[in-house]
Amino acid sequence: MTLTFVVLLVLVAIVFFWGVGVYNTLVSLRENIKNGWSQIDVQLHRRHDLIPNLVETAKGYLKHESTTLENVIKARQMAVDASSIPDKIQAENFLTSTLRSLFAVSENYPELKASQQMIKVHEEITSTENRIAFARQYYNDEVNRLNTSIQLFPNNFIANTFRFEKAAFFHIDNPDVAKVPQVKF
Amino acid sequence: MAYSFTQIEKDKSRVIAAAFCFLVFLYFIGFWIISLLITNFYFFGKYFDESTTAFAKVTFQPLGWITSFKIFSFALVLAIVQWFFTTFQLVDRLIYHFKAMDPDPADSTQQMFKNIVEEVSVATGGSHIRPMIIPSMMLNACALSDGKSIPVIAVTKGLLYKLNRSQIEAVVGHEAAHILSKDGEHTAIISSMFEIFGSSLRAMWTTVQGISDDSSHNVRIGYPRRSINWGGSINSRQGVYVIFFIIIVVIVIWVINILAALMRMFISRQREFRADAVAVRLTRNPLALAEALHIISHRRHSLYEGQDSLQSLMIVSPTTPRFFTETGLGAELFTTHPPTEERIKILLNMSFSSNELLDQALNNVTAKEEEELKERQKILAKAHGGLWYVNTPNNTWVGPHNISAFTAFDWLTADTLVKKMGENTTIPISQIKDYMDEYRNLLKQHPTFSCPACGSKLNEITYEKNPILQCSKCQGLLIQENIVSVILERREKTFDNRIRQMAQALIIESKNLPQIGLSSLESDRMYRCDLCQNNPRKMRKRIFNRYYPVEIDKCMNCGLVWFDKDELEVMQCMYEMRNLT
Repeated sequence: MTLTFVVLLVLVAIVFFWGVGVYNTLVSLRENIKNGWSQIDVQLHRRHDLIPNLVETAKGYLKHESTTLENVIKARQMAVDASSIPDKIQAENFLTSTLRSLFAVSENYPELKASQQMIKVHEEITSTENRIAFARQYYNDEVNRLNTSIQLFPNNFIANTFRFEKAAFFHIDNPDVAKVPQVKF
Repeated sequence: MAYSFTQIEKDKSRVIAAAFCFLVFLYFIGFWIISLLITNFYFFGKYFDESTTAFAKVTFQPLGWITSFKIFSFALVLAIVQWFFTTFQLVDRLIYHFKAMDPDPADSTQQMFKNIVEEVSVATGGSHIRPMIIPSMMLNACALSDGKSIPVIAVTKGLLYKLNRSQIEAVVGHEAAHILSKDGEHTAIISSMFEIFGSSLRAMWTTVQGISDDSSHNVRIGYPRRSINWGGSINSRQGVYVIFFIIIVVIVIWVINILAALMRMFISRQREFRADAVAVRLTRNPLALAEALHIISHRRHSLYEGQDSLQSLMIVSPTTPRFFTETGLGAELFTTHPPTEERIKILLNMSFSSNELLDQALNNVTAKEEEELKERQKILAKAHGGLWYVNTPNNTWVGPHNISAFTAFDWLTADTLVKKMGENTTIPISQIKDYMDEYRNLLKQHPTFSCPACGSKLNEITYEKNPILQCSKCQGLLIQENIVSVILERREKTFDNRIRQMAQALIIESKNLPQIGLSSLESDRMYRCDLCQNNPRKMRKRIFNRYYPVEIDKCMNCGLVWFDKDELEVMQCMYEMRNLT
């Protein structure tokens, strides 16, 4: 009788501690995702802060390319003003493309490329782009981990009981990326 | 099937955890076995000397539960105390050891490195990592963490200037992986546990040496040999038993130590594989890491700056001979790092690439980089006012030179005329703002130097793109220590036959050289360091290091190095020859 009792007690204890373990893991994953999201935001901010600097540096050299510069400024303003997430993503994509065309144009101005200030700003922009990519990667990885682990058996019991929900991935709506490559024979 | 990085990470983590548990077990069981031996000291003596009654009645005493528990607690407390002392300001001490410094905000490459570390830290989810630079031209990197202070990723200057952005990022990713998986902390725990065995072995060894020294000393000068008197009541045969017993204990400790060392190296190798995998998870660029490892491993024969006890911290082992880094038994058992070839193979497999493609890519990159560098130099020269001719006191024109080179002419005054290349108008040099700025900076930086050998004036010249001081008479060179390695890295200079022969001879000599340190050589000359006039420490004659046995004079205070004529060239030539073979 006592033996059965002890065995039962041990089993209950094991299940309890397993449940606590799973619950804690899920909570920390959820927090990681929140943290990842704020990281993306921080890095986007950093990018917005850098752009006036870039424009200021390039202005002196790119006198004949005022439309390109204006586009960059406009795109930045749009990105800063965007509030909803789809708007944000769209604005950031637009900003990326305008930045790309600015750097493409600056290829034709060797003095600009050689200017110490420009080299510095360029490095900062490159770094920021990488940071945004890494922040997004981290966010998506954590989302992936959460989504997988709440669906796995037997974790799904805990997840359902405490209402852990699947998180959404951060997609870039870039048609070039989304398009399935066509293979012709 | 290609092995994915998450899979590798998982597998290696499991293996490492198992090995770690084994080591912890070994530690406690080692204590237990030694205690068991000591409590049964008299029991084993029985077999050694049956005649004595003192030993005859003793029975074997197993250790009870309570005694075992006491032993385990003691071992645990000991390990914790040891751990506390080992990790006390560990990061700070290591930073001091490597002479690591914070990135220089004025140096764009170092600033880029700082950015890269921040990027990778974003990829880890925002952990705090402190970037630092090791002033050495070796190609290496390390992660320092002790679980208390902010972890540090330090790379050598050589690595920064040799690798491109994505390669540096891969290396930083590898180091960040070590920090993420807390490898440093675990190493500290393990080494503080087994430190007690190691140090007791060393202590016994020194005691044995002391006794033997003592006795031979006594014999030599004619005193009666001191007999070892163990409490007075034990006869000589029992005395022998005591020594025998000690030897047994030593052997047990030694075996534990060896086992632990092999296990630690095994863990260390597995960790490298895992860190590679995590680096790929962080940066998603296995090819860049493969390239970085390839470049680093092919350039390890550069300046060896002896930090062997810390080698498990580095990305590639700095001391292991090349033989061990290729596959083989040695590589499997006695190294802290797995064969680089194998690591590269795994990474190439991940990126669906091959060795040939890697070589091709690396060659292309170097060619492209050189082109870019040339292009940039051209543009920079233009932006800085181009090349100039300068009017000497004899009214001849010399040049063309860059503005910065003008500071080397000691006869230059503010009224000296210069003219731009391709133009005929002459202007006094004081009107060129760039030059005046440079000149003022120079005055600020250097007090006036005179040649330590012959006392004549030293001129600043640009040698392999670095500003150094040269004696106008004896052609000796005065260089800051940290610039020497930068100069060795440059490839612009070609050497004549005489220098080549001297370098060849020194390379052979350095192979036959005994293991001497960097001790001063006997010398009657002792130069004065102008920078440290107030300091009594003079420049000492010594060899650069035992891989480069070139004679130099070095100020022990500020690190200024004096090369006699040709000595630096010989060293550069040696460096180049070593890296070609």
